[in-house]
Amino acid sequence: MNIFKLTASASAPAMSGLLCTGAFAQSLDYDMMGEVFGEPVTLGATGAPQRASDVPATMIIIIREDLDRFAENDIPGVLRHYAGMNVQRYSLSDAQVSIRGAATPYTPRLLDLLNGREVYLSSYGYTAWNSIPVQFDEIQQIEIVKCPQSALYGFNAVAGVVNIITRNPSQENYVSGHVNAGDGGYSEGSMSAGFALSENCAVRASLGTSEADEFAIDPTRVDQVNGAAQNMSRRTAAVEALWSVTESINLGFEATYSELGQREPNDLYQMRGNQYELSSYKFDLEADTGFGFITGSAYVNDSSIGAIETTGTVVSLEDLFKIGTHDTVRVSGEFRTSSQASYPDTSNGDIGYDGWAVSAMWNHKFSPVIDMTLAARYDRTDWERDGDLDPTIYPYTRADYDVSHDDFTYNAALVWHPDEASAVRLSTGRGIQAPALFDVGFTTAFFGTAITGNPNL
Amino acid sequence: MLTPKTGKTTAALAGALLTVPAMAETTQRDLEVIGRALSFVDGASGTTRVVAIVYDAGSEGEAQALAASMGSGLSAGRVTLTPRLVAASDTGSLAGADAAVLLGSAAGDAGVFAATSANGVMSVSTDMACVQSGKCVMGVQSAPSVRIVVNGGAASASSISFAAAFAMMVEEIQIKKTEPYRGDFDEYL
Repeated sequence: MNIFKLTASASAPAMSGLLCTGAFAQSLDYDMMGEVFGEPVTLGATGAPQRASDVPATMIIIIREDLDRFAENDIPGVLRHYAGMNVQRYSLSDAQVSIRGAATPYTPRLLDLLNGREVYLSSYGYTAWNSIPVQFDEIQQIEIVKCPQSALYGFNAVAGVVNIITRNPSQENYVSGHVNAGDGGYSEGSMSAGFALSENCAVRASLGTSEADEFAIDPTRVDQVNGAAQNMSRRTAAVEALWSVTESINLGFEATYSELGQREPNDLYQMRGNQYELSSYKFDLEADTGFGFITGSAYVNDSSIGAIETTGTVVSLEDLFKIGTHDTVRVSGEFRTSSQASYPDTSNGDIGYDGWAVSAMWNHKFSPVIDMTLAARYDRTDWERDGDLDPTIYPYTRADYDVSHDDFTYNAALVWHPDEASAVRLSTGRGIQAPALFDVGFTTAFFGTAITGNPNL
Repeated sequence: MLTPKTGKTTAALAGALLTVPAMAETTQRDLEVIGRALSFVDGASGTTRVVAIVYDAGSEGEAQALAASMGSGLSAGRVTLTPRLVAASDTGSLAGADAAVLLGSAAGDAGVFAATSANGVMSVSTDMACVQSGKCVMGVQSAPSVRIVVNGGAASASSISFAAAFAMMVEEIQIKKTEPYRGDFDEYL
């Protein structure tokens, strides 16, 4: 489908970017830091602010100016321009992304984050990219981190990480809106805004809506007929509030909602129409204390994907501190719980897990041109199932689902700057892809047999 | 084979190479980096920063050219830098400045540093030997890549501190304090 687009857009940059200077002194000012050091900066890899050339991982940072240059409608469209990214578009709305690997339907193994919150779907392990409640105009930068990064980034960072960071309303006031229309039933509208309400309070909000007819199908193709009636429909909303309680303590709250209808292939490459409804609530704490820079985060992700209902909660706490001038240490702990109603028959109880993780990172500067980063993480995941299982289709008892996994992951990197224009990076890592809820708990009857997930994965 | 004599010579040469980098003239790009770095000084507010350009007799021309390039105000990120020419022999006019860019032999002059620190002015130079010797709070190099070095002892002596995120991104030289600082860094070290 060729889309002829009519576009109207308006954008107003900050009028008073310094309103909050000082009040949110601990937050990383990506724009200003980038201007100071002449290259993008990140908090992603170690939790400490770093220049892109110093990061102990293979990282690409896509800044806002880069996003403006791409004539793309969604994030996978942007990602496909970068080396090592495998992006496969299966429909107008559905594209799957992998790093250094095949992007099959429902590609798992990639940790996708929006402001530190996991936005991949824990029910199946993949990302429905258009369900991510963010507008292009409110993105500060997108960080692509290649290779296993579980010890640095956490759960599911096996192929790598895509970390989306939004603009910080405490550092700039902005309003932006777009209205696009075209043939093929295409229409799109978005609005995003960020304001400092006072020296210690700022808000960000965004809305987006889009509709479009899907690609035409070949009615003789059985694999295309299913879902043929499903066109793309997307609605998202997000609101974030930041409050600087004191010079050294910041609090944040974010709520998001998104609805998505799209045509997509399942694992067997059969097209289908699917409906997503996602919501999230997130609380953040930043405190610059005598014990280091402490950050805490707690969030709930609720999702409804067709008939699959999933809820997940993650709570994490970390402390980042320097020892002398050459050593930076981060210690962190995390608790997560996730559960999903049995599918397709919801009367067979919920499958879920509780997980604990502890991790530590140590960065040592041998000299201004050589530094080393070591990180390790230990995960324990306890699975369980409730409800009464239908013995005619479930080959496992409820007790069979009481399994635990203990996993150790690591990352190590040595970064050397032989001169002021180059960096040599040696790195190694081990990542863990935990089985998705569906992989373990799914069971259905199929022509007198049962197709079932496996609790012993 | 290294004899004691050749060893001393080698060490002296190595020391010279390490501690006497080329002292390039301060450029507008250096000033822009310095101006943006000023945004991360704790307690800074407003959008204007007064930058004292401290010169000796040998660097007066460079100082005047630098001030001329700034005109009535040089935009550097979210702040505007306004110049104030200050002779190294007249450090009394440093009061009220937010930063002092030290040129020529003013970078490394104990008297100039004592004056900037007494006034709580952030002293900065593109001569890295200045920050390494503790007679500047900050050393800045903008090309070919940006390098910012902060001397923790000099910053403390000047009552200057930086936002935590910025402090974690710069190279820091930390001086172990065994006795109170009395204004002469060589003696202090």
